[in-house]
Parts: sequence; C-alpha cells; structure tokens
Amino acid sequence: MNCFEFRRQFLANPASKDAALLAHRQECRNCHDFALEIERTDRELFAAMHVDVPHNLRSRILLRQSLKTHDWPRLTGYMAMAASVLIAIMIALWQPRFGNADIDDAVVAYLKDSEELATDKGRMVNTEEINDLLQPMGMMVDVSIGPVQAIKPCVIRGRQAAHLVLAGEKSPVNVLYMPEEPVERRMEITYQNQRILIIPCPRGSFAIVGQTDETLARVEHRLHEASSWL
Amino acid sequence: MKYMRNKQAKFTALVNVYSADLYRYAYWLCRDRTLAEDLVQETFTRAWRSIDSLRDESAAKYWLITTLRREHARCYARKQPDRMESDIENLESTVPRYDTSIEAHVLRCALAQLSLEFREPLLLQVLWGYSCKEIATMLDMNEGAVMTRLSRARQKMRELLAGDSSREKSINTGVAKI
Repeated sequence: MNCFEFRRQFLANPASKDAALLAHRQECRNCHDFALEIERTDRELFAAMHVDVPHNLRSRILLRQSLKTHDWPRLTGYMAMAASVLIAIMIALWQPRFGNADIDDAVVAYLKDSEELATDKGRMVNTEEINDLLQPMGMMVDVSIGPVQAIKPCVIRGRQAAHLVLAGEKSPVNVLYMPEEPVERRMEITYQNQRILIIPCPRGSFAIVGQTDETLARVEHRLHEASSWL
Repeated sequence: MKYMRNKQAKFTALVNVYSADLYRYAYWLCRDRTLAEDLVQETFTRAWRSIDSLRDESAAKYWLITTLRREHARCYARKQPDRMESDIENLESTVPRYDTSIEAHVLRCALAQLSLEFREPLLLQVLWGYSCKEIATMLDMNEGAVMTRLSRARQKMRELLAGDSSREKSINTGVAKI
C-alpha cells in the first residue's frame, strides 16, 4: 500500500482494522502522524456534534404521544393547558409502576449522566475497601473478583447502588450493583458502541458495561464466583 | 391493558435512549433547532404507530434514523435554513453547559458549511458509529461511493479548518487577507 492509498482509505474510515492499512501506518512515519491528526479531529468533531438538546425534549415527546393515544377532545385554551399538566403529572407518576421493565433505561440514563470514574492504573482497590462499600448493600466479594480499578457509591432510580470498574481483558469494564432492583431474566442491550449485560443476582441485579470486543460473560463469571450474600 | 403497558414501556425506552442523539442528528441535518425538534417529534409519532414491528434494539435504532432522514428529505425540499451560522451562535449563547471553546465553535461552523451529501455520511459514521457498509444501505448507495464521500468530507473539513487558522494568523500578524 502506498501513502496515497493509505490516506484515501484512512480518511474514509479512521476506525478501519484493515491489516494492510495498519501495517502501512506502522511503517510510514508521515502517514502515522497524518492518522493521529485525523483521529484527533474526529474525537473533537464527535464532541462538537454533541450539541445540547432542548430542555424536557423527552417529556414533550411522551406527552404528545399520550395526547394522540387518548384522542383528547378539542378543549378551549385554558382547559387544554390544564389537561396537559395533568397528563404530564400522570406520566411522571406512571413510570415507576413499570417496575423493572425499564431497568435498562435507568442504567443507560445513569451512564449518560455519570462522569467516567477516575482510575489510577498503578493502584488497585483492595477487597477490604470494596466490601466496606458493598456490605451495607447485602453482598461481599473475595479476591477472585480480580483487579478492581475504582469504586464509588451511586444512585440509580433513587436507590443506593455501587459502581465498580474492573480490569477487563482489553479495556476497563464498568459494573453497577443494584440491590433491590431484581430482574426476571438476563437482558443485553447496546449503547454507544458499548454492550450492557443486565443479570439477576440474589439481592437485586448487576449491569456489566463493556466495549463490544470485551467478553462480558467472563466478567459475569468473576462476579458470581467472588460474591457472597448477606 | 398489559399489551398497552408493554407498548408504552417499549416506546418510553426508545425515547429515553435515542431522543437526544436523534435530535443532534436532526440538528446537523437541517441546522435549525425548531425544525430539528419537529423532525424528532414526527419520527417518534411514527414510531408509536409502528412499534409492534420493531423487534430488537438495533432494528429500532436503524428504523428511527431512517424515518428521520425521510422526514428531513420531505422538509428539505420545502425549507432550507440560510442563517445557520447565527443559529450556531444563538445556540451557544442560550444553552447552558455548551462547549463554548473556540475550537468547538470552529469545528461546528466547518461542519455546518459542508454540503448535505458530505455532512450526512460523516454524521452517520462519527455520531452514530455506523460502518461504511451500513451507511451505504441507509443512503441507498454502494459502499465505494460512501467511502469516497467520507474521504472528501474529511478533506473538506481539513481545508475549512486550515482556512480558518490561516485567517487567524493573518489577523494576528496584521496582514490583510485578500
């Protein structure tokens, strides 16, 4: 592959794993620098694309769907406003009744809003610290959980939960322990190039979040092997 | 009743997960905040009607994006916003927590200046993470044509960004740019 072909292909798809592309990048310093520049611009572009969305967009979408579904009769301006407010309150109160049909939404909402946990790769969290956090929530772990890079308490759907960052095979894996949030069955969803596995456990559920090339089943196995329940 | 609850739960999940990124996609297609919200509203109205046919999450996501594209294509023929640059400035001044760095502003302006044929595949790749093959299916083109457009889109972005930085240098050195 020559430099021209490399740049043409790289501009079309910087994330390409094509072997010839990667090999040329390793061999050619200029093309490697070019690739770094394009990757940096793409990261900045991704961030720049994330304009803020209008306040309460979700609520307005749900409200409009609700109005159409119930086929409200025509009302005068004042009564229409009162009806809209009433429906908005109903929707806000309605959501918790779904129980854990929407636990996956709650996990995604938490991931969207939470900042990435800072990890000090040189220092792992020891089991004692992990259990100080988990024990009040009804579980403990032993060393077979493997390397844990960070932990913190968090709140998901108004309930106390725990956020751990485990060292995965390829990249860090986020694990959310959600006591009192039982799920009937395993769920798997994707969110922004990440896979999320939600699994039941004796006291509630776990959400395991990792990159698409990470084998989440291995992390699931580590959690089951290491956990004991109080 | 149970059916309606399940349908509502599924719809609410779609709104929660995808409404924000759909809005961003719509905004970068039409570069108009009001129109972008209208497009998203219309897309989800259609989603409610078709929700029983949306089997899994990847199908739902694809369906939402494709539907929004079609709605935009219908609107695009009727209305082309021509004051996109001032709209970007207004967005920055009125929306809290907005990245107001110069670099972000320059990138947004450059992206807004790309024509739709280049901007759209770039959005699908960078914002949504779709592969060239998937983008080709969505845009009803062959994969080679998509790769050409993406390559040219990035080249144009580089030219626009380089042009902006040389304008800055001219201002800083007091040299008038002809």
